[in-house]
Amino acid sequence: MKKRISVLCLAAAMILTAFSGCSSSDSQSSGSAGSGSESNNTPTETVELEFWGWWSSDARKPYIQEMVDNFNESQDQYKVTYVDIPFGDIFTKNIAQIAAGNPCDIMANSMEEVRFRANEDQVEALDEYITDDIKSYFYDQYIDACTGDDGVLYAVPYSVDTRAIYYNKAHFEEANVDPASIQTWDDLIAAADKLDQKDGDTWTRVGFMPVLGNGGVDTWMINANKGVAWFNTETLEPTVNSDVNKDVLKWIRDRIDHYGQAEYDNLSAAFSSGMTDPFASGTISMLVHTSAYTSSLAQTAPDLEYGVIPLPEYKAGNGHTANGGGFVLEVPKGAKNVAASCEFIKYATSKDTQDFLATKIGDFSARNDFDDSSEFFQNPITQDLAKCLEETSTVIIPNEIKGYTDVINPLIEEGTLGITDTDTALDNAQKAFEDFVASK
Amino acid sequence: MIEKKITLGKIVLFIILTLGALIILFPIFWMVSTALKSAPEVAQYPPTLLPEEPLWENFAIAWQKAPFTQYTINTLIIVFFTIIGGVFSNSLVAYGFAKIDFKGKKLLFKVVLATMMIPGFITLVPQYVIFSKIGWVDTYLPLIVPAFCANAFHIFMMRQFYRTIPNELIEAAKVDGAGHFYIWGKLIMPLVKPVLATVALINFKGAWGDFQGPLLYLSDRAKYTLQLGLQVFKGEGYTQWNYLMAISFLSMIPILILFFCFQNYFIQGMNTSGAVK
Repeated sequence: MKKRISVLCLAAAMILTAFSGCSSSDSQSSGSAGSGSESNNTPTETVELEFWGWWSSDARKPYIQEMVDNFNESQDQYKVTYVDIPFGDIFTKNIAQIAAGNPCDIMANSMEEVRFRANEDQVEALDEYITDDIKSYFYDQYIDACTGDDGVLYAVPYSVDTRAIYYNKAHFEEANVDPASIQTWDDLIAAADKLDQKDGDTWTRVGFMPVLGNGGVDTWMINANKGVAWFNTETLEPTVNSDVNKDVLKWIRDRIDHYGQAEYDNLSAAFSSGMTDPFASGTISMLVHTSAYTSSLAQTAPDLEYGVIPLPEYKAGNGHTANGGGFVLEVPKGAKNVAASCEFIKYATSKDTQDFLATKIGDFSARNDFDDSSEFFQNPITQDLAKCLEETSTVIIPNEIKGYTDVINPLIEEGTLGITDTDTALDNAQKAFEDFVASK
Repeated sequence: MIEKKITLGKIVLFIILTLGALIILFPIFWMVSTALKSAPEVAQYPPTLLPEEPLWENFAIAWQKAPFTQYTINTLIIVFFTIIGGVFSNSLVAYGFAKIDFKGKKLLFKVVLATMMIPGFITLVPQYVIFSKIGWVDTYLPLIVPAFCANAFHIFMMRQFYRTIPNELIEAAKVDGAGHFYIWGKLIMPLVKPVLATVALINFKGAWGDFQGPLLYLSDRAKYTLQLGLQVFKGEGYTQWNYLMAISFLSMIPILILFFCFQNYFIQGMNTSGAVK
């Protein structure tokens, strides 16, 4: 019996050893674990780099892969491998690999959080490789978002987005609404009222509800405040319950009351499910969404005739400010080939590559040297979205008050949902924000 | 012939059970229904219960969107070793706690049970760092080897089952000169088949449906598992729900088959382990 057990143990050990054998050879060939230090590479050796992103769909991945292949063919010093990892989960994996000291070489990440990651020592400084002349090709606000509190550049803008109102052309024609006439919030409500349709007590068509799709309370607050709404950008003091904010939240709640809480709940749940899309189905006539919504509509409503208008002005002359964000390319802390990684980042954010990606994928570039001659800008929807981008504000939360949204959002939502009146909700949020700042 | 009395209580019970079964089955129905719809129909509001025109080809299209055959093989490799490791290690450790007296047994058992209270997320990064340092990242080892190190819940479950076996049986074997390994392998294992099947099935389900483990440890696309491969349908702004549901349904079938084949063992194993004797 003892012999049998020994044989069993030996067999198990052999199997595990076999797997271990695979592991060492595999890890050497993989980009993240086996990139090797730069000093070990002679100039003739090819440096292998791993590039992580989350673009895995048919609409995006082939073009990302083509871009990577083009880079690999354009030179023989570096070989980049694109690895797509699900959005959301990619960040967990990135943190784990940074902690283990073997992160990937190049990583796509959110623009709004660059400063936070820099503060947490999760990204490499790029100033040495991304010089001022390269930075000058990007809009200042995006370079600013990629710069840490210490004034060092930690990422390069890769793509940016904005928000706009998508409208159903057939509904507009039927209700005789001219999209160009929607300039202010009052115009928007007047148009929505014309578009509304009701059968008895049931809404058969909803003209416009402000906080559906990808528009939230933030969208309208930023629009009305022409930028940051919840705090003073210089003193960082909370301004949650300002008169403008109170007016905005009441306006949002009034629009929900107009259609009824049940209708809002149904539509909100439909969007939240991620499956059903009441705008694509023709139940809603106008919807706030990001510039990336066009790729979704191409799948869910390929025959839908739609147009795009900027977010209207809170009051005439206030501006059409939209909230937007974007993605950057960065080098995770501990990556072995920062200089080589930056060569790829420079290529991926160059004018030609960005033009290629914008044309094929539909994302907007943060570069300032595009003109109307680009193929990308020939599409009328793209042209309209590009105008919205000109009035887009990217809100970067200072590290000193990072996390305040977790404190105020649930309280503001009580106002949006009608649990408390809107003024009280904002007063409560103001108090919570002040307490949060005091506890820091 | 025995006449069975159909009482009002039985009818009510039958209706309640039928309703319960329908509620449980509805997500599976919805999954299949969505898998057979076109992308515009999936997005339709209000949603349709049945597809207007069932698109059976969605299953084939979805399967071809990624190397799912390879992903299935990869998953089966992990599942196979996880079951072997789980059954072997848990049954051995549980035997020790149930049938061998040694100093500090109670304390050690409490320590083992206490590990159940540590949320998995807390050990995520440290565990990754350890596996990374020993060069196991991008291999199946971090997904397989922990199964050979036993698991507190399974140890507890098997120990409960072992305790239903009379000690006299073991004493008799000892008198005949048998050692603990012999008793465990030849005498006890055949008597605890239900709980072994239960542990095997739970390990199968865990390894087959594991997403976070492969996500963390595997980077090479050729080594991806089925659950990781499913993410190919999930985009940043748009998800191909019909294809995602098609492959999700296909990936669910092995678990259903296994459960129906071994349900007697499984239920017996759970009942006996949970019961106080």
